[in-house]
Formats: sequence, structure tokens, C-alpha cells
Amino acid sequence: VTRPPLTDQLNLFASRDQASRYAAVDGVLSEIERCLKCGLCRAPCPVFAEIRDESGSARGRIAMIEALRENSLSLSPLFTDRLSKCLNCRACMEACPSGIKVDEIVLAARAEIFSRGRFPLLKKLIFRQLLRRGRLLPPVSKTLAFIQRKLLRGLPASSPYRVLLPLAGIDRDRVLPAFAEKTLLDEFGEIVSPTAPPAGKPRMRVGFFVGCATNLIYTGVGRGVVRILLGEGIEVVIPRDQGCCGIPVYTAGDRETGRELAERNIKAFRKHKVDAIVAACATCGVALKQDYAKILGLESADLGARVYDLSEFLVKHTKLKLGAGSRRAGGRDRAGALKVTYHYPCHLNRGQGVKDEPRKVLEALPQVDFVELAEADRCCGGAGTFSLSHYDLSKAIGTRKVGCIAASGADVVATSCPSCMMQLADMLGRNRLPQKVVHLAELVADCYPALEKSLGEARDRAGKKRVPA
Amino acid sequence: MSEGGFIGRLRETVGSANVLTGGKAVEGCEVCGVVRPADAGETARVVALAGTEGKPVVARGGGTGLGGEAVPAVGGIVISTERMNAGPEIHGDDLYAVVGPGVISGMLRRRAEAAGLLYPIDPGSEATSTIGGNIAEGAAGMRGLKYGSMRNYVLGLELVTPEGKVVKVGGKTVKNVAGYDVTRLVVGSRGTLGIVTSATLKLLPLPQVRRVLAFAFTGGAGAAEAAGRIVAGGGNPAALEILDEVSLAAVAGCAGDGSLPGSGALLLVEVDGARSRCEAEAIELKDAVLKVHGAAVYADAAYPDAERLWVARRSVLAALASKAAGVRLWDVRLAPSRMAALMEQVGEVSERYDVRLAAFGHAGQGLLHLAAAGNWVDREEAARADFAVYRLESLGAPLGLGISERGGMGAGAWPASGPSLGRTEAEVVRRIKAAFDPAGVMNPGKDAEQ
Repeated sequence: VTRPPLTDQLNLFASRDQASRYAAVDGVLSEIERCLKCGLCRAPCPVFAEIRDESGSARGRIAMIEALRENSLSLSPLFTDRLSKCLNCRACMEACPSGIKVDEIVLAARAEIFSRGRFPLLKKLIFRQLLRRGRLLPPVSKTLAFIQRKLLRGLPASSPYRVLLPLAGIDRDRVLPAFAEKTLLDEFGEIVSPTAPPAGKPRMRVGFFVGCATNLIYTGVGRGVVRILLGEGIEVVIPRDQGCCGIPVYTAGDRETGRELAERNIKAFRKHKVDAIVAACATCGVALKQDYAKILGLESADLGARVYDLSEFLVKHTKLKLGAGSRRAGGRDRAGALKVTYHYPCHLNRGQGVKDEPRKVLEALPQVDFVELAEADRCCGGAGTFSLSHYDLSKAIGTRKVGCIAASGADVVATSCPSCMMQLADMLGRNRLPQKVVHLAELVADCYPALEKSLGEARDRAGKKRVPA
Repeated sequence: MSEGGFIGRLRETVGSANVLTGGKAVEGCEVCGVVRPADAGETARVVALAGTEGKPVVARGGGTGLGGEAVPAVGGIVISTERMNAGPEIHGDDLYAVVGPGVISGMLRRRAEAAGLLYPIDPGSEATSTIGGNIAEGAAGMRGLKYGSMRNYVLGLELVTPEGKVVKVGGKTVKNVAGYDVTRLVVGSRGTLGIVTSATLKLLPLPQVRRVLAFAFTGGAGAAEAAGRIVAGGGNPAALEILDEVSLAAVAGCAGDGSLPGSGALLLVEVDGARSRCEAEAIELKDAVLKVHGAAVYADAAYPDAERLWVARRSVLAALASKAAGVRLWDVRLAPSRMAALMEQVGEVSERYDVRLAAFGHAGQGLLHLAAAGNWVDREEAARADFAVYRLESLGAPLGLGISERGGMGAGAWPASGPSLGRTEAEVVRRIKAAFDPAGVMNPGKDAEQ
């Protein structure tokens, strides 16, 4: 056997300097080239652990994208399928010794797929019509809420209407969250001021980025955030023009719509002068904090104030004196304390780099006993639309997660991302586990005065909302 | 049979989902497809089928080898062992484990530890490399100094021969010497003699204590001198690893948290065993090392704190790679007592040829890695690195130094200049290969045919 000359072996990148047909992939070429193919990314990948197929690991995906660029693979349905099986959980990036930005590489390839129209029409319709034109979203979700309420009665497991679910691409046994009758943006005015006590001038003015899931489904989470901020004597600004953060859109490859959404949000927040912006959804947070600049390449991705995850904001800007019984306040009878554990959303932990804050907040809560969770930072498998398009894979990943939750001995699992909440609730229900899922905001909110009074005034001031009975 | 017919037969054998044919190439080499058999029977049928078609067969585990041993050189089919991941089935009473080749190496180590046992083979890739790959490569790890390599832990194998027969060699006991030691011949044969479908591996009792001492030096030569003293001193450290100035600067820069010294060189020494023995050994080590000019104790940590030091050691190559378009890697074999001289020469040739060679690795085991980060598309830069390494090789020849470059792109490890085997030795190797694999179908184009 003759070996190729050494110089040819070394001439690895010669063909790579030229531009290929794939402009977005060319944009991340320097990242692709840095990959040594060592395979350390395979170990923590939740998808790889289930399918044990090279194409299900970061290294495999990068190799496929390289092959695409060199025209030995095409944007086939198979290629599209493999690229769609990434949770964007970034576990591989944490393991990568070279710090390769795998997320940017995968999203660039998805942008190629999308720009060539290799994309389900329904998703395109949702992105371009529903999410971009934010106005249509509330009526649609209200219609869904109505259907859920009146026709399907929340779809109990025995409901005969469940046979209809697969028609919408949803597994018939799925535990579904209920759409709210009234969106969060409709519940509150644009500016919600604290009343007494603590009275006087608000000590801060904080923008609240709501996000779709909190606006349409988990409105309780949003109310919790408002309650906490008001209780802290902070004026809350909820810009009415805000919309979807854009992540579901641009992670699927639609960067154009993603940019429009980003620009709309930036404009909506810049209109108000706020000291900080708080997001209670890990994914929205990572979008606002990083992706607008990093993935979407927006030159001015500044929303006008620093963006915080709720837990981060609480640690930084409040005293975390959440009750006389908290650990910080010293010992007291902890009998009857609620055992709470915490699931780290990928986009909070690895995405935003927020590591210790949720735990600090939980440990400061009265009547909460924090218990450890094994693999707390492993993806739950929800990953937004991933759980819809790859439900079997999502279930397998989620089952491992709820197994750890059950083993923790917790009564309640708290988290900071509506997508995780949806997934955990589904998986716990499916595995008949008794643990309840809550958002950190809901637990913390219980330490603050109830909303009703200040809320009413806020509504009066907004002048157009009725106070519900 | 047409290629379509061949693929069809493969699909019948292992099921459609386990024959992958989507892409045209595996790391630059065109192959018919990747086959993922579930067990020895399926593997044997696939190998036999490929044999009748004259298609080469290349076994692949985790695909972490930097020498490209699992990368096909001349097409054919790739057999992934990843589905054969039965076990590990641990027999604590008799100190062995039975595992499928697809089991992840680190998982076996952790399972053994949970059962109070030691499986000491911990290559840098253990989080993702497989037992099958470790056997094919004769893997060791940092602790090879005390515990040896895979060769010392394979008691028995189930193997599919190049002709598609399932054979069992070795057994479940340490003493087992009837006939030729085929088991150990297969270890390190890089998939050229057969495909392992099950392995029986030796385990040891878990040491009571593991402790790592880190010594700082002003330069690599001092660290290498200390390593020589430790080896000669008769102690029995489990691991003895060196990082020269270039390597240390790279990892310290990447870690960026001040957990490592930012300049100078580092020697990492692990001792393990009974607590009292470790105490005594640590004192002896410090005595020996601190005699070297400029040496200082940088850290003395027990597990799990010590883990971060090993993480630093494991990250050298990647840290170098993270800042460059490419990394070239050479293996240098040299007796531990001669390493100080080598370190000085590395510095000299680096300066003379204007390349930054990093030297790091298994000082106690007589194997160092040389790595150079650079833009190797630039022929001139590549040539300078070649010259530097040739120069090093000729300087070291009287000391018994051997260098080979790790190709990384599919050609396997080959000597930088001239074959490492003499003509007669190469003939013996060729005959062994022919005895196992007369048709030459198993991982052709690699070392065995040189």
C-alpha cells in the first residue's frame, strides 16, 4: 500500500478556503475546522445516549455538515431529519475541550435547510403568520382554550376526543397544558406600579419579558413574577408590543423571521426606560442575552437594559429575605417543609451561565427543604418543538429525567422554563409519579403579598381591563 | 453480486435500520456502507458476506483514535460495534468482568468502582471510547506505569475471524497458557486480525487511597530529570505525567482560572494503595523531586479534588488545538532516564526551526507526545515542523529515541522517516497477518502490511 505524500495529508483545508453553495455554513467554517473529531462530545449528548448513532452526536453532525459543504451529502430528508434531532441543550459544548460552538454550526445548517424550502408547510405557516404577526396568536390560543374547555374538558385520559390529537401531530396520551382563557398581556396594563406597602416611589423600574408560553399558557408564572417585583417595591413594565423571543423560529432555521421578531422586541423595550429586564423563561433569556447578537448577527441587539433571569435578578437586586423561617434567617422547626428539587434548564445553566442562583433562591425560601437532584443539568428532552416532532426520543430522554426526580425524594420539582415544565409534567404524569412541577417564580411569589389590590389599581390605570370576579 | 445486491443481503442479515448507506464517505474514504450487527453471529455473517464479495471490512468503536486506525483506507464496509454493548457483567468474587465491545470504557471503570473493584485502563478518551477499540489499540492510560495496558487485562476474547468464524480464545483466569497466546496477539492488532465481539477482562481490588502530587519546575528539562529520578528511585507511582512549558501555558490559558501555574513545567504523580503506604511514598517522592534545582510542590491532593489536575493533563492537545487551524502530533519513545536531554533538544529545535513544539505525556512510561499547533496548509510552515522533528530524531538516535507521526486522517501511525520494523521483523508480522487473514480483507492498508 502506498501512502499519500505527507504534504497531501497536510493539505487538509485547501479546498475549504473557497466559498461553497452554503453561505450560512461558510460563516461558521472556522468553527467547523477547529473540530478535532475526538468524540468527547458524544458522552454527555442525551440524544446520542438514546439512539447510539454517530449522526446523533455533535461530532457526527459536524461531519455531516462538512460533507454537505464538500458536496458528498445533500440536503436530503435524511439529512434534515438528523439535523433536527438536536436538542440545542449545549451539553456537547460544555464537554468540548476546544470550545467549539456547536450550536452555531447546527443552526447554520438548519438555516440552509430552511432557506431552500425544505421545511414543513405547517411550521412555516406558524412561524410566518402566527408568531411574526403576534396579534393573531392570542385569538388562536383563546380558540384552543375554548376547545379544550368546552369540547374536550381538559382532555382527561379517558376522553374519547383524544383520538383527534394525532391529527394535530400530538401523541394521544400526552399530558397537555391548558391554554389560558386570558393572556398575561391582557391581564395587566403596560405599567404596573407597587402600592402600599412598601409605599412611596418605586425603588426600581423593571421590564418584564413575558414570552409566549407564559403569556398564553402558564399565566400563573407571569402573575408570580409581577407579584414578586411589586412586593419588592419595583415598578413593572410589560411592553405591549413584545412578542415571541424568536428562538422557536430561528433555531428551526428561519433567521429572517427571527430577526424581525428580535427587532420588534428590541424596539418594544427600548421605548421604555427601565433599569433592568427580567425574563422568567430560560430560553427567552438566552435569546435576549446572547442569540440576537450571536446567532442573528444583529448589530444593535441592545434592549436598553441588562437582561436577567428571575433567579439572577433576585440574588442581585433583592435581599432574599423571603420569610422568617428561611435558612438564612436561622433555624426553626422544619417539620412539614416541602421537599423541593430543581431541574436546570439547559438554556439557563449552559446557555446563560446561571449556575448557583436558583438554588440560592430556593434555599432562602421558608418551608422549603432543598434536596439534590442527580443529573440536574441534563436536558429533560422537551426542547420546545423537539418534543412535538420527535416525541419518542423526547419521551426516552424525559423518562430518565423523571427517574432522577423520583429518586431525589422531592415532593416538588421547580424549574425556570415553561418548555421544561410542560415536558416534566407530561413525563411525570406518563410515569404515574406524584411529583408536581412548579416554576421558581410560583414558589417565590407565595412569600409576597397577594396581587389583587395592586393589580386592580394597575388595571384601573390602564383603564381598559375589567377586574375579574 | 451487484453492490445493491450486497447491501440488500447485509440488510437481510442485520435489519434495514442497521445498514447505513446515506453518505458516500467515511472520513474521506468511500465505503459501501456502515453495518451495525447486534452480536457475534450477525458479525460473523456480515464478515463472511463481505469476504465472498471481496469487500474489505473495518471495525469501528467510538471512533476516538487519533491514528485513524478505524478509518477505512480502501473502501469496503465499516462494522460498528456500538450495538454490541452487553454488560458489563461483573464477577467480583473471581475478579473479572464480561463486556461487549461496544461498552463505553469509562462506564466499565465506574461500574467496577461501584462494586469496590479497579479497572485501571483509563485512556484520555474513556468517556466515549469503547472496550472493543481499547482492545484493538492496546490502550493504556495514565496509570499504565503501574498497572500496564489492555494487554495485561484481557483474559479471554470472543472473536470473529476474517473468514467469518466465531472463535473463543483465552479464558476467565489469569493463568491460562496452553498453546500460543492468541488473546494477547489480538490485543493491539488494530482490527487487522479479527473483530472482538465479547471480552473477559481482569479486575483488581480497589486501592484504599488515590493521591496526586503536582510538582512545579522552571522548565521541562527539570521536570523530566525529576521523572527519571522517580522511576529509578524504586517507588511505584501509578502515574507519572509531564507537561512542558508550551503545554502548561496552553492548558493554563484555557482553564483561565488560576488553578494551574501559568509558566514553567509541571510533573503530576499519582500514588495509590493503602493509606500508610501512600503517606510513605509521598514523602519519598518529595525527597527525590525536591533535589532537582528549582522544583517545588505545587499541589498535594486526594480524590476527588485531584481530578482537576488530571483534567488539565487530558486537555493539553485540545487546548493547543483550540487556538490554531490544526495540530500535528508525534509520539516519541525514549527511556525515562533520557528524557531530560530530549526536553532540552525540543527547546533547541523549536527555536532553530521557528515552530512551537509542545512536549507532554507519559514520562514514566517512556512515551511523550510532541504537538505543534499551526496552519499546516502553509507548506513552508509544515516543512519547518518536519525539519524540526527530523532533527530531533537524528539527535536522539544515539539515545535510542523513536518518533512516529500520528496521521489523524486515516493512514494510521507511521514512522516519520523509514520503517520502525526491520525487514525480517516485518516479514514475521506479514506472515502472522496472512495466517489470520489470507484474503487480506480485515482493515487493509494499515501497519500489518508494511
